[in-house]
Amino acid sequence: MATHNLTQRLSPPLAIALVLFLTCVTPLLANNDNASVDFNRDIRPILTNHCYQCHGPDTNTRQADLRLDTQTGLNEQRDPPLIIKHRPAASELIHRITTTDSDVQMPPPQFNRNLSSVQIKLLTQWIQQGASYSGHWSLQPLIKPEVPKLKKRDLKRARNPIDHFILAKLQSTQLQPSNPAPAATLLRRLTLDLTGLPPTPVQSQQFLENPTSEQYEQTVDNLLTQPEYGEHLAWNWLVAARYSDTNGYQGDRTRTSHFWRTWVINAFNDNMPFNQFTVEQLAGDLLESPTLDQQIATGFNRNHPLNGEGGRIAEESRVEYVFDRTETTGTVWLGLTVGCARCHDHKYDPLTQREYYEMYAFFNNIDETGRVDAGGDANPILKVPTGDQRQRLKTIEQELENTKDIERLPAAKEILARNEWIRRLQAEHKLYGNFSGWSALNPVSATSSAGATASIDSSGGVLITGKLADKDDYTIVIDQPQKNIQAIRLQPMTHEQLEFNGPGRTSNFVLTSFELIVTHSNKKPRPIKIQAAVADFTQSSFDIKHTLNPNAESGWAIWDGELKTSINRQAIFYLAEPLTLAQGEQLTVILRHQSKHAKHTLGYFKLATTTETKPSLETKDIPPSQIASVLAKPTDNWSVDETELVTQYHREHTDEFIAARKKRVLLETERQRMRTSFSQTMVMRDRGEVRETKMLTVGQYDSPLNDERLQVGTPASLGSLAEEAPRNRLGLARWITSPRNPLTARVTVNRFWQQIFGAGIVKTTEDFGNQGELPSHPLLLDWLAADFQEHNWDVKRLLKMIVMSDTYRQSSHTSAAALQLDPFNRMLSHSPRFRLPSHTIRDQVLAVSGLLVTKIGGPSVKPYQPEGLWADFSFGKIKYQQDSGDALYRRSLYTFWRRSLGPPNMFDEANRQTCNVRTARTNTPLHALTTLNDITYIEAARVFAQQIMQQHDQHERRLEQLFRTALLRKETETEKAILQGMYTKTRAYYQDSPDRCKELLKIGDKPYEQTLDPFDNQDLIDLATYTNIANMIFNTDEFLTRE
Amino acid sequence: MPPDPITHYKQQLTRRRFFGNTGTGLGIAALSSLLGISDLAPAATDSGTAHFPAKAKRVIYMFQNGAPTHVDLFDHKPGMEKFRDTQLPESVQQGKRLSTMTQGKAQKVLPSAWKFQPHGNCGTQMSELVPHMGSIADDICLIRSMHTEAVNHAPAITYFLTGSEMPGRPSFGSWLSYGLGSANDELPTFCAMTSVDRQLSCGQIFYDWYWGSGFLPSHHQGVKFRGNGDPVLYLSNPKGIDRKLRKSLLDDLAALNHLRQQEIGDPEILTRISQYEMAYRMQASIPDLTDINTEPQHILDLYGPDVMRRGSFAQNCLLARRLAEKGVRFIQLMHAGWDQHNNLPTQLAIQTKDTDQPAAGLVRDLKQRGLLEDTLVIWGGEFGRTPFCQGDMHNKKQHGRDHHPYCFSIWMAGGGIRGGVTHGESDDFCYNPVKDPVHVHDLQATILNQLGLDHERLTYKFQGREFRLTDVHGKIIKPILS
Repeated sequence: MATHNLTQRLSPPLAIALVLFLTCVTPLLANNDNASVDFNRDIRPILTNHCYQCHGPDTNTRQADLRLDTQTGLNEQRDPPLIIKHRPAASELIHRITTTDSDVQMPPPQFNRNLSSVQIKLLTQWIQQGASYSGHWSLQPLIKPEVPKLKKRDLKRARNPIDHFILAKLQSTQLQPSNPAPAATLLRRLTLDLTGLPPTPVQSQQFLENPTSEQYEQTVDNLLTQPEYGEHLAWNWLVAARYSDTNGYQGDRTRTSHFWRTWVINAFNDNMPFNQFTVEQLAGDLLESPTLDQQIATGFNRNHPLNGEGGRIAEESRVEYVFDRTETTGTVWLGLTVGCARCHDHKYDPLTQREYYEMYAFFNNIDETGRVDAGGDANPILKVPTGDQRQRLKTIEQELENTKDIERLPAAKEILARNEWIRRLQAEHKLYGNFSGWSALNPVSATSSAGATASIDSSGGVLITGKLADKDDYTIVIDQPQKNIQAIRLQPMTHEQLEFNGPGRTSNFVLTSFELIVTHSNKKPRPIKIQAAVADFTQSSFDIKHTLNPNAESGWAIWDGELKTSINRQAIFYLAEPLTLAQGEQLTVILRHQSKHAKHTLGYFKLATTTETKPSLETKDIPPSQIASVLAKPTDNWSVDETELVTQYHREHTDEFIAARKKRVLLETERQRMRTSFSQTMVMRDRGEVRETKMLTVGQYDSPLNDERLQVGTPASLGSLAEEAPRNRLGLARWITSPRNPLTARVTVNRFWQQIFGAGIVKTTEDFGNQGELPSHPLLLDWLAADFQEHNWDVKRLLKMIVMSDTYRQSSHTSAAALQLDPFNRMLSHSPRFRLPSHTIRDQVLAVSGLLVTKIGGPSVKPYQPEGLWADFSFGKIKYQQDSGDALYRRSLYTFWRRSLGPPNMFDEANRQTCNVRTARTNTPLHALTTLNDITYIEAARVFAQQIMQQHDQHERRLEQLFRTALLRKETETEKAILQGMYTKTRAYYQDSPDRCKELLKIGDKPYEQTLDPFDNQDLIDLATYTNIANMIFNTDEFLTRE
Repeated sequence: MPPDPITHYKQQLTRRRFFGNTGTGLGIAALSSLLGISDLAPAATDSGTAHFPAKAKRVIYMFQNGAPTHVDLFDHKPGMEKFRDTQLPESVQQGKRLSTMTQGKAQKVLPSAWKFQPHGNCGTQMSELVPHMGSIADDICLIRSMHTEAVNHAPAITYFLTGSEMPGRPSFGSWLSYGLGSANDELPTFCAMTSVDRQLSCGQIFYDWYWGSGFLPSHHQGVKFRGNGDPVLYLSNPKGIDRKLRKSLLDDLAALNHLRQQEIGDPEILTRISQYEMAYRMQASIPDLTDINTEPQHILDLYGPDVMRRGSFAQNCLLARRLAEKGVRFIQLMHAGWDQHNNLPTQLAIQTKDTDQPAAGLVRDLKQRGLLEDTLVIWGGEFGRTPFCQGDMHNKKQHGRDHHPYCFSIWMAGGGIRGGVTHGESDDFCYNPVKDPVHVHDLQATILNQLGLDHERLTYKFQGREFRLTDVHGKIIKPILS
């Protein structure tokens, strides 16, 4: 940014380069022989870039047994001595880098890594000053530094410790901190930084009417509790985790990973401490009795691509996944480029190849095959309810408890009802000598024509299990039924052994024929005529009467929706004439299932007969003989057991109990059905037997370097696993989040700092190693990291501290002096100003236009995308099915992400192939074309224009409001004139061509007529005009930029 | 924010070149040597400055996805006939790994079913399937000793185009964009076009990393020209807004942005203004470019009958010439449909009929305009095909050839490459190179060399490492340079 301006003003290129060079590359240099040389800042980068290739950590490529990356190596006794403190001229090191003898010159000329005169001078000065050594900064133990003291003038500005560090550093330059940002700019910056959205009109009004410090803090607190905060924070985490809705590679199949995304959003919103956030994602499955959510969290390391290509060697893929997890974990938490050690010892950082594979071993024990073996997913997977399902399940569990309570109701409560019942039965018995009602039948045999297993239980119920044929006929044989039978009853009943609890084997059934035959060992079978039949429930046309016609294709069925089918049902078959079996005769019942509805056969049922002439569906059962014999005796003669038996029987036949039981079965069926419809998501789960880990030659899955079996372990330079730590991912996760780990907290606070300021204190967010950039404010980084740890890894607290600082609240106005002295604003003398990420630009226009649908979580959506894009790249195999309605206007976070072809209107976004913690920010014509022409932006401009038109009648007000609502500030007079000019000519244009006006207004799914009515034609022309102006305002640099 | 001041400085230089606003006259290499900053010297990065004078100013790479069969097109081995339907000798195979599709089965020699004949003054043998390529034999250099490591399509293509089998590295064109900057101010530096065979016989996806910028700043990525809809995504103005109205409003937008720049002082705003101007120019230049109606009939005829079909290989070849004329640096044409595992006797003829004439026509067209001299044309796939049969040897409807990475042929023309020569030789079965083997990285090094770039010095630092297109390999194929 800076140089562009400079190069325009200072024409000689030399001057530009000098400025750049002197201010940025080595700020201290300035030809000052007395300047103090710092090993980490000045010397280590030279050694790293020019020497470590051959004299670094990699033992295999080390030359002359000389090592320049450790203190021991530098101080080693050699002949001639490498370094003699304070005597550069006598030091071999200086001799080697200054000689012109190409045989001994270092670095060897053919390496193209020659040292510059400046670098040679630095090395010379370093030895002159005593050649002091310090270990690499990021691996030093984290100790909270003192907050620097400030001069009085600066002290007034400082609002919190961050400012102390920033201002102290600014004091040492010629730069001044900037004025506070205008209130509107600050508010827009704040809401965009914390929620990824612009302020709502209400937020604007609240703050801008009273932009005090207290109000500011109040606003910060409010923003941190908005659910949009979690969504916003989730984006970068998804990018780091290479989140995608598809697998990548050939085929690029869809997977279900959105449960993990929702988990991330919730975790940020709940302000889960970052150490817990870490442990659950790396090893949630290994926690004691992990919750569903803790298991979902482990999806983090299942977000990598999956290769399902035909002919692909599964083990090769699996090893690739383990590499990915190891390296992603290394980048995200440790800020180390561990991948370099996959094939050889790290060239620059203290990480050996062996240590790489010890880290790898943590991730090598997942219970997986390397194949895409679980739908579009790969095992291990977890069955997961959706949000709605979770809610319903909770209710079901509660209601089930209630029904059980009723079933368990103490007998005392029913004592009156029971006594009344006993009295009634006993009176009846006295009167008639027996009970009236249905008498249960106890079949002697039950068989299935298709070979299913039929079993008869103690209550006479017949349960059919085993082979499930499309069609089946059951034959039930009954011995010694009642005499003078008037009717026979069939009760299809629920049973827990049946799928979805019955009563049919697949819940419903179609009974096509019900036949009665009397048989005798030496007589011809005698069919019994049935005169009529009734049922308590009939599924539309599946009437019970069909069962009386043996040839009917249709029959009796009971489907009443998924949630009401699993209910006890009954049908009564009235005999044409009363039936009494003769000696030696048996009654055979045949139940046929011959409909075209496959597998619709009865699962569990009971049969009963009655001697009553007009039995109905309400007619009660005769108590079974066991109960009847007790009832026949006077109550005074009952034993305790007999009383209990009758009591229990009574309880089970009260209306309340029957209703509760019925409800329970229905709830259980619903739960069972829901479970089968659960989605799945990929999670981490370890195998029982530990998979062997060996070092691999250049990372080849089938070429172990040697036979040694490695155990899990952590790099020696970072400290070892705790003695008592489990030797698995959980141990690793606890090691990563241990306060003794020098990297995790530094790397983490740096990433959050980057999120707010656009660049980290360490700019190379992904590399805290020797090749990474040094921190601009090392003490501030350490202070923040230590403070973060001290305060329970509280992310909201950290972000609040950052945005409450004076540093954050500065104006982003860029002075010429700042541009010249600090072109990349590393000193933060003003607030950084950078283009918003494309996903935020999209969210912003949706929000400003009021189109944004604020629903949290759930599956991905497919908003607008130019036609044919997926079909083109996949030869027509994959087509984009655009969603409609609300799904078009969800936040970009929920846009379906195809790994091989990301959403086309999201430019400069990481590709989601591998982990990424620092995304690009470029400036190309293609971006301009997107925000100028994409339907998303045109529709939003129209809806926005329409909204302003509806709120304001006056033309001038409308123009003002378009500008002010989008940019949150008043237009200047010049700007006003430009806007007015735009209006005049655009309106004339549409006045002349009403067809174009209509064409423009038709863009986007949201119709304009509905909300515009009763606008007339002139209003439509105005709408087209304002749409164009809104489109331009959406494309101003100011709108696209976080200022 | 660019990664460091130096890179940023170089980007600024590029930007100015991009908008025809050059002025410093000094390249970064020269500048750094003046200052004695050798840190700046090694990479010719993003400065628009080559390492040494270039033979070629641009590249047209006709990538043939799916792997064309060198056995039937370019590598004539009449001696194979004697071995027809016999097991390929182990002395030839040398225990090399085969794909899982033919591993463990018999490898019966399948000689080419097509005739070969010498072409041109040089007498290079080529198959009757590619008569038009034969007719330009004196202009091309045929390499018969290419070899690679990858055996599956996507990794092998990725290897050719990015130097690594795994996605994530910058593609060839983006390296050039980064190394040399742009040479025109109305079109992208790096353009990609794709086409497929007319039967859609091939299932290989065109991944966008084939023209991606990997870890280079994303403005270096190739701009994909599409075969339907807008030739470039979001290129057209919305319906109901014509070019004149748009221009007038964009001028107002620029005015608003200038005001903001004066107020806020951020030079990045000026860059944005320029990019919007460039976008506007592209809206005219790209439709102009893709409108081939202005081409005379005799030129259209050069490219064959398919040339009027949008999205065809033939039309893409013609567009490639038009892009080359406009100074686009890297034009990547990808044509899929060469993966003849089980339909070689039937499909290959169709495939060559569709691609032979356009490819040769492009070379002729460039030559007659004097453009071939400084345009490097490359034609080739990601590997070759086995000399043995896959499928049923005796059923022409059910056989073909499997993937073969150990030896295959590609050709190059123009851009300082000798015409009328062949380079390298394979054994009697086209199985292994026996003379002058050429590795993928060698080819890459050579192409960069022709563009004036030293492949060992064209580097970009990412995650602590200096990356190169050629990784740590690559030797320039000196004998083929003119």
